[in-house]
Amino acid sequence: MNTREVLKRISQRMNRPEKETRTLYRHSVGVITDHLASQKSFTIPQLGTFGTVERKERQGYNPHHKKKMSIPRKMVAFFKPARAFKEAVQ
Amino acid sequence: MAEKISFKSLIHDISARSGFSQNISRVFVREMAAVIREGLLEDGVVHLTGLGIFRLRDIAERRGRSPASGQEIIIPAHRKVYFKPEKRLRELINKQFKHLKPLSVPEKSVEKEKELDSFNRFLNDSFVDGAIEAKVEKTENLTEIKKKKETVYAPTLVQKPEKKKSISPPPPSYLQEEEQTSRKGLYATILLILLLVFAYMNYWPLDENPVRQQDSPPLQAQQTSMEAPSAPEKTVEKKIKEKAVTKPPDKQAAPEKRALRSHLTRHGESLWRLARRYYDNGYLWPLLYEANHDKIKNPDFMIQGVTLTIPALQGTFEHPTPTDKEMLARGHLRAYKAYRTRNHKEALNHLRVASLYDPGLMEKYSAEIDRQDELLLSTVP
Repeated sequence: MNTREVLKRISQRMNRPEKETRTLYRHSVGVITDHLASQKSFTIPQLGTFGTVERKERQGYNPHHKKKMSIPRKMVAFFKPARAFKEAVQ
Repeated sequence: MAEKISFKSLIHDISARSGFSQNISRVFVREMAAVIREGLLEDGVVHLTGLGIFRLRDIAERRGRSPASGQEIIIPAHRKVYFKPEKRLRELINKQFKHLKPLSVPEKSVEKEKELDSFNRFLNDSFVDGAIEAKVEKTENLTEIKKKKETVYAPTLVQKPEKKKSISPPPPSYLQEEEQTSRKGLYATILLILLLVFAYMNYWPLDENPVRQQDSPPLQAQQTSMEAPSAPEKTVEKKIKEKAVTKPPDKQAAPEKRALRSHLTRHGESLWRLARRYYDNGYLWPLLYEANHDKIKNPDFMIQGVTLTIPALQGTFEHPTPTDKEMLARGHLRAYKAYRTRNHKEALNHLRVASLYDPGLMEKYSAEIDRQDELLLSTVP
């Protein structure tokens, strides 16, 4: 399922034109990315929690060059599905 | 750390941005969550532009241990929801650590190996075209050099074995600092030796040349006076080479270095290298290119096993004679053409040098020079 299908379905459910849902979608994605970029987490009910964590620096191994490498720390996003969501997919 | 934002303020932000009421925004986000769930159950995957991909993955049954009791339990097969952010979003999130790159960790190994290894790496990094040739001669050279430089660098060489001994047993902690500093010194000496080796390597091929260079010019002079009118130059060159090889250097003639010669290309050679060898200056390579333009298609790429003519330089790089200047200008112009057709950024530089050497030539060949380049050249001094 892609964005277009998702938006089509949302507008059917909300009984509103797709144009409106598209603008709403665009702006909500903007808000979500802004919050994630500034390392803030939030929960969307029935879906789950979005947030960021820092992955610490660690020792890795490059199998091609056969060398030990230090992999630098990194900020990554995480998504933890809500309990209801987890159970719904089983 | 991670600051949490309530659902309410999230909705507030969305409505403030989009201009819709908070009520509609809230309904929208809730419906979106519901549709994502629906879509996942239907297709197993939901792509959302600007956000990422939600995916369902089947996890097989596996054995595990209960973290509470330590008892072995079987984790049943289940499905899990994964979310992978889009690349743009990942980059945005990792913005603060963007500059960090993976680095290789120095490994501890035997001293000798390290020396050779770093030597090779050094060569590979800075001397790519000569690396293969150099590796063959490496061991020989190393021993030679060591013998030669032993007198000068005796203290460093003497220090080495002592340090090896001190490294091999596990040193007590209070000694470690001292060892580190001494190690730094050791690295420095190794680097110094490597530099010397490298410098020597550069001059080594030159040492070989004078033998050929010294005996060929007079021969060549004789040959050309005798045969040049009748025979083509190439055959003359070959004969000279043969004679130069067979005849021992009986006369120490005045080294007329700048004579016309020929050269059989070998693996790993470049025009720059040849110019450096024959003219002591790599910047004169367009001279070689001009003389052999029918044999060289791409000046940056040499084919091995081709006999190149090495034209004579009458003056020096600093003080070229007018004929030298003209040849150089032609060479640079040809290099310009070659680079222009390949869209190489060096093209304009060659045009500039060509115009410096011989402004008259530029007018002659103005039809072949790109209009835009001409304009650029006239604006830049």
